[in-house]
Amino acid sequence: MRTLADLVERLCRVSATRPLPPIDWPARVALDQWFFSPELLSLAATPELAAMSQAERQRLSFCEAVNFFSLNLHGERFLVRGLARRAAQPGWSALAPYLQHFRAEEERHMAYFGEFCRRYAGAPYRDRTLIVPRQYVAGEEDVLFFGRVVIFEEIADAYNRYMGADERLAALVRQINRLHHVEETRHLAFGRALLPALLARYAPTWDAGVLARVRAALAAYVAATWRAHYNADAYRDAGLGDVYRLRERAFADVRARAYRRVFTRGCLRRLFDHCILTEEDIDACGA
Amino acid sequence: MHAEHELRAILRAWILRTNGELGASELRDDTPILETGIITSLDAMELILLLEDLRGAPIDVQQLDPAALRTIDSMYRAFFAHSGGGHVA
Repeated sequence: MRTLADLVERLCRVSATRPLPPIDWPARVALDQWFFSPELLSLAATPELAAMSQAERQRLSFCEAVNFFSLNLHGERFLVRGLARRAAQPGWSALAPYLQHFRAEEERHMAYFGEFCRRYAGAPYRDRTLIVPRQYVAGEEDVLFFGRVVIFEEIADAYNRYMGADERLAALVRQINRLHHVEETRHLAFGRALLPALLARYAPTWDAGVLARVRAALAAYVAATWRAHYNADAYRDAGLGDVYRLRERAFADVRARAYRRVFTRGCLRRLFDHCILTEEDIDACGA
Repeated sequence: MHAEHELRAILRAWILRTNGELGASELRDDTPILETGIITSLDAMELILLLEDLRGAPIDVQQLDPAALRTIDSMYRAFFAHSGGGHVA
């Protein structure tokens, strides 16, 4: 059975020999094309989308692509900070070589996402994330950090795979989605191996209250990740009105919730299989 | 436009609904909500969206003093009191 150490050695070898290809950025992008798969649009189930013309939907798809890339940018910034901190800590010395590769690769991805947002939208959408310091028991912060990383990356990768293969989309966004998916296979392999290992090490030391708190926090992060896909700023830029109420309605829509439930169960199945997430916790968070 | 008492009531209702377990009598306008865990940092993103909607203006989270979100009192002072008489256009 391959150990985490074996995996890390292999990932380091691959990362050292796999440069990120450059992107040929066009001077501008025409907005009368698709930038986000129509069935993945956050407003897909809403009467507002049904009432929009194709041109208006394509405009919305551009704004949702900017939001998706912005979320990747902000998520990877959080990830880079956490990886850098851990790579410098003695307890992480065995994994530090790969954490350095991981961090460098995420910084390159951030450059892709940031470049698209700046060139074609003026700027990424704002990050409203607020980090509130709190106390953790041993291992809890690391489990929550890598749990959030896995959740974020699994959902994003599922979207990358889908849109990287969607020939309706503009070639540039297909390329970005495809490249990110290829790159993320190494990060996903690492997270899928590390998170269960962290839990195996620390969960036996936690009481039932801590374990419940960790599961609830990860389920809440699943809900928060989905909520971030529903961006009032993107709706406003797409020409829609009453954007905060629209966001609430779209997120609460039963069809949208059913879609998210199936999607979550699919792309986070490993977390369910390892009992890191439960259906009950996901339902309780309204994800 | 919302009067001061309406804004406070909206914030109070949101906090109670988001927490899901706290009784109304346990939440005063000077009750800390983040440091006590009544609201988590993940909930804070939604709270910021609510505040933006109520004040009709964006909030720059990068420049935000977290103390502004500490209580209903601090949120009213930070985001609405300058509007004059508690009314938000």
